[in-house]
Amino acid sequence: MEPGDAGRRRKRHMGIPHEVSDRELIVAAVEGDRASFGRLIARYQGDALRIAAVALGSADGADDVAQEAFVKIHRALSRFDLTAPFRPWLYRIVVNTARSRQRTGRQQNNLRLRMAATIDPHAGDDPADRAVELDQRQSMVEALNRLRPDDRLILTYRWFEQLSQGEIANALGCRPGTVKSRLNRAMHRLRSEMRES
Amino acid sequence: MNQQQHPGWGANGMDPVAATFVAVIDRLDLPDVNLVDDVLERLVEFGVQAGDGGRHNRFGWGLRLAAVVVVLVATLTVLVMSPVGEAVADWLGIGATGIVIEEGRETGSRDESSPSTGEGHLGRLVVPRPAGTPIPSLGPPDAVHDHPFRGRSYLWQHVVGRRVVLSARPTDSPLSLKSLAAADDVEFLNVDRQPGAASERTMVGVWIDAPHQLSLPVEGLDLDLTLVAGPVLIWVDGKVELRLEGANDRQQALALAAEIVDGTSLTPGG
Repeated sequence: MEPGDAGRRRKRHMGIPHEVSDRELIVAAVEGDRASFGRLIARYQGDALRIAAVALGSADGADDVAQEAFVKIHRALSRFDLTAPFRPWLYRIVVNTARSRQRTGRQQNNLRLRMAATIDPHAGDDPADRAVELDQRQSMVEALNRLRPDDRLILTYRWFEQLSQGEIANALGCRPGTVKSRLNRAMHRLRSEMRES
Repeated sequence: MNQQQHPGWGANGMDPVAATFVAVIDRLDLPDVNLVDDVLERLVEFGVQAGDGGRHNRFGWGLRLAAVVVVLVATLTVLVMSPVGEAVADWLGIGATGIVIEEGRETGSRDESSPSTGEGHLGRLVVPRPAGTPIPSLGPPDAVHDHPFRGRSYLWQHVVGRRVVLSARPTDSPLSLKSLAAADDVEFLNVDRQPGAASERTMVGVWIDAPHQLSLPVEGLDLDLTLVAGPVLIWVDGKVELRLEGANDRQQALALAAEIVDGTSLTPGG
């Protein structure tokens, strides 16, 4: 997959082809073009914030983690394999940064993931259906907050980001052969937590 | 992509749990920020180019050049001595310690790490405890060891919640090697002395935040070659490399290091 290819990305990315590929932006940034790196940040900051929040288990501090991760990425850009997709590498650095903050106590763990208090444009018109859907989502939020960070991450990579098995392995830093079993375990644990919610 | 090959999709598309999961993740309450300016400002502040590889490098070009010289020497030495080979992706170094950043290495577990003193290794000698203490706030050390490779180690048992070890050895000691995951924190920083100390100069140091693998690639010595070391502050005082392990965090490590009046007197021959 060409870095920057939006083909497999979710609908929020689809139909918006990048004018310049990730690879071109990275090459330009390595050559000293900070504006290109700025475009790369703009392209992926939403993803980085989301993964940081999932890894931390809280949106609080996600911006600091994402910012720190992008600084690390800038310094490591020359080592990036241009034949590989950018997102798994980004996610791995974001998650490692989040874990590092938690280890050093710079991250409070008492805050939890929560949904934005905005109207969902995709919700149905039937108030009963909407109530059921909201209830399911609230159960999901509660289940997510009880889930282990690694389980939240692998499910996010697979279901939300739609990364391939190889990309998930890259993002998690594990062998591709272990992704499917990890995914199945995470799904099992999520369903168990959902039943308890 | 064949979605049916992956968990979470059935013949009729994404299953309800997966769909709810996606809806929730899509609507997480995230910070409403634009990171572009903040990140670029930090890059300008640090004055680094993409690919510098120095992690949090807070130094100017002079110090960086000095580090490069150390790294080149370390690199040549370690390439001969280490089987790391092509896995090596990045190099840093300070004193007699080479730091290898390896792609594919997993970040170590803090549970399995511990301050290292060469205990259990052939050649360790227990030496009489000195009358004073190198770190006044910790009091007298509980033990002092000399090791032909690790230098002199001062041990305090659980005074700050963990065992603290301060080690000192000449910078021309045989090279040790620390291997880290690509995304671990390695931060170059200044180690300051407390005002009023015999020498007030600022010293160059490195804080390694993550547990990491420590290799002692020395032929001819019956050493346990690898172990998992905890977060460590390494700095150079004159011609002595000092290592402080067991502090709870970077700030505490720097505060303890600042108490050391003269690191050059802490080596076996000091």
